[in-house]
Amino acid sequence: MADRQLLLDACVAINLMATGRLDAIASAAGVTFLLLRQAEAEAGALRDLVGDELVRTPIDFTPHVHAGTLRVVALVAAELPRYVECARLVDDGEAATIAAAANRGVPLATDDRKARRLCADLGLPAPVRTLALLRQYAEEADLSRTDVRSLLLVVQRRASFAPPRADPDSPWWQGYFDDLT
Amino acid sequence: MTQQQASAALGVSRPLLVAIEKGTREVRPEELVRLAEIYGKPVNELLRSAAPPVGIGGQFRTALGSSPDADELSRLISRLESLADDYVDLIHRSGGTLPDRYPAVRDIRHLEPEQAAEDLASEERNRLGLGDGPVPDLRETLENDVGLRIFVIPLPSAVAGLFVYIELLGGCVAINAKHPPERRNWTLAHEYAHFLVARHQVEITPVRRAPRAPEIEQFADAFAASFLMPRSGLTRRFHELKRGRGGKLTPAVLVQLAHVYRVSVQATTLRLQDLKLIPAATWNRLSDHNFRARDAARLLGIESPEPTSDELPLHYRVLAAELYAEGEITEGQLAGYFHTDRVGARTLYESLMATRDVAADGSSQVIDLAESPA
Repeated sequence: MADRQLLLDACVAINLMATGRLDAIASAAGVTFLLLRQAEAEAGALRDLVGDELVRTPIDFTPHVHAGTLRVVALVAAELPRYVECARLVDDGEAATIAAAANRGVPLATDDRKARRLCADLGLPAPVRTLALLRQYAEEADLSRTDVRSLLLVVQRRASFAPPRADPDSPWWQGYFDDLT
Repeated sequence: MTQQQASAALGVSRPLLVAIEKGTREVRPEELVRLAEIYGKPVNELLRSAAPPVGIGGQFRTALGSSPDADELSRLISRLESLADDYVDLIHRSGGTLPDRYPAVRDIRHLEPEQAAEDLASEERNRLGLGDGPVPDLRETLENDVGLRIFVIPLPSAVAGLFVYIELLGGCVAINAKHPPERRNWTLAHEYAHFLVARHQVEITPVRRAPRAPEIEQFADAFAASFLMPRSGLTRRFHELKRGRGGKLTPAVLVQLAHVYRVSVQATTLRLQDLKLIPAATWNRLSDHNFRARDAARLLGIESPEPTSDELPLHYRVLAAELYAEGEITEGQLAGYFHTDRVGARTLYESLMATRDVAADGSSQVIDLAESPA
């Protein structure tokens, strides 16, 4: 288990779970992922094609908890006032993640525009994004172009994820899709 | 859950809980978190700046009285109430107002229901610029051009739809998601009639009308028939189809007309009977011969229209998507408004904000109409 920690919000957690390689991504980033219970509750399901049918695959973090790469944690009493303050503006998962990040001094990962703005307003460091984690993993693992494209495609398909153009790694993502269109 | 139960679960007295809910006693963070658990609602929802404004359960109490499905309906009415609360919250967040072009309520007292229905249906078609042809998408027309809020939710099978007027939202209709599209169209037109003449009375529309139903129900059914199948257009198409079959009236004519007007074969046949274009007992004769409309349509190669799976009004969905695109709400909040999970919300968002077009080489391409919001 790595010493460094990274709080995941639900949207990043969903994307990483869609890859099926969450443990390897944590290892490449040199972190243990933390997930607030509120964010865990919002993860829902991925979408998988079984035959011609699109089915929901509920997201289960248990194997990663057992592997020690992810810990599901609860807010502590001292974090509740900030949590409630944030929950006036953002959903419970984002609010809990931001409250914990602020109290514990742990960096957080979110792609959510409103949540990122709230972090900035609270003076928190800029959150990590999904693509930064995927890119770091692809480079650390020295994945081939084909493998990277498969990795990104699976996030796009299972998690319906499309990165914003404002993401600095958006051109990197797009570079793997240009020759598909 | 009663206030007594909630206060016990929270470990405070009932008057204290009432004070918290009224806002006269500030709620502590740990109490709020516990209350969210007790009510099974997100903290974010409990903290909405707009007070929950919609209370429609009371309006339905009398109408529910003798219904055999009262318990299930009561639960579904609570669901409709919750959807209406979300709708009002979206409008509050967007700072917008609802689109409406509501005509004045029409007084049909002392008028013969069938004739009044025919006249009003014709006026409404003219007002909405529908001519005398079939309405291509009734839900879209009533949502966009009239300003009705139309929800498609599963209701007990014996219930076709509900109508209620909510001050902050206007005319709200719930139609039964379990029913086929043709039946849903009929129900929509029926509820529209209630909106036009008895806007401030709630309505629970059963699938089968009681033999001695009030005049307003006769009116609403007659309005639905006239609005969906206007006399002049239906007559013209009927004669055209009949001519194409050597002047003979065949079941195929009825099936084709029903398909064109997006209503059931039964509704089409009964309308033609009322207009005296076919013999009065035609539908009974077809029933006696065990006529199966779906099988007949299949033989003619006519596909049943795809039922919409959109539970929420288009305006509601667009409001939520726009707020997300502008970074005014989070993905989790978007999922809450869409009543799905986050991946479901992403899919729905993409379908609302992107449009397919054809590229120069003929392949389809998706044009993103909004900056991805994250």
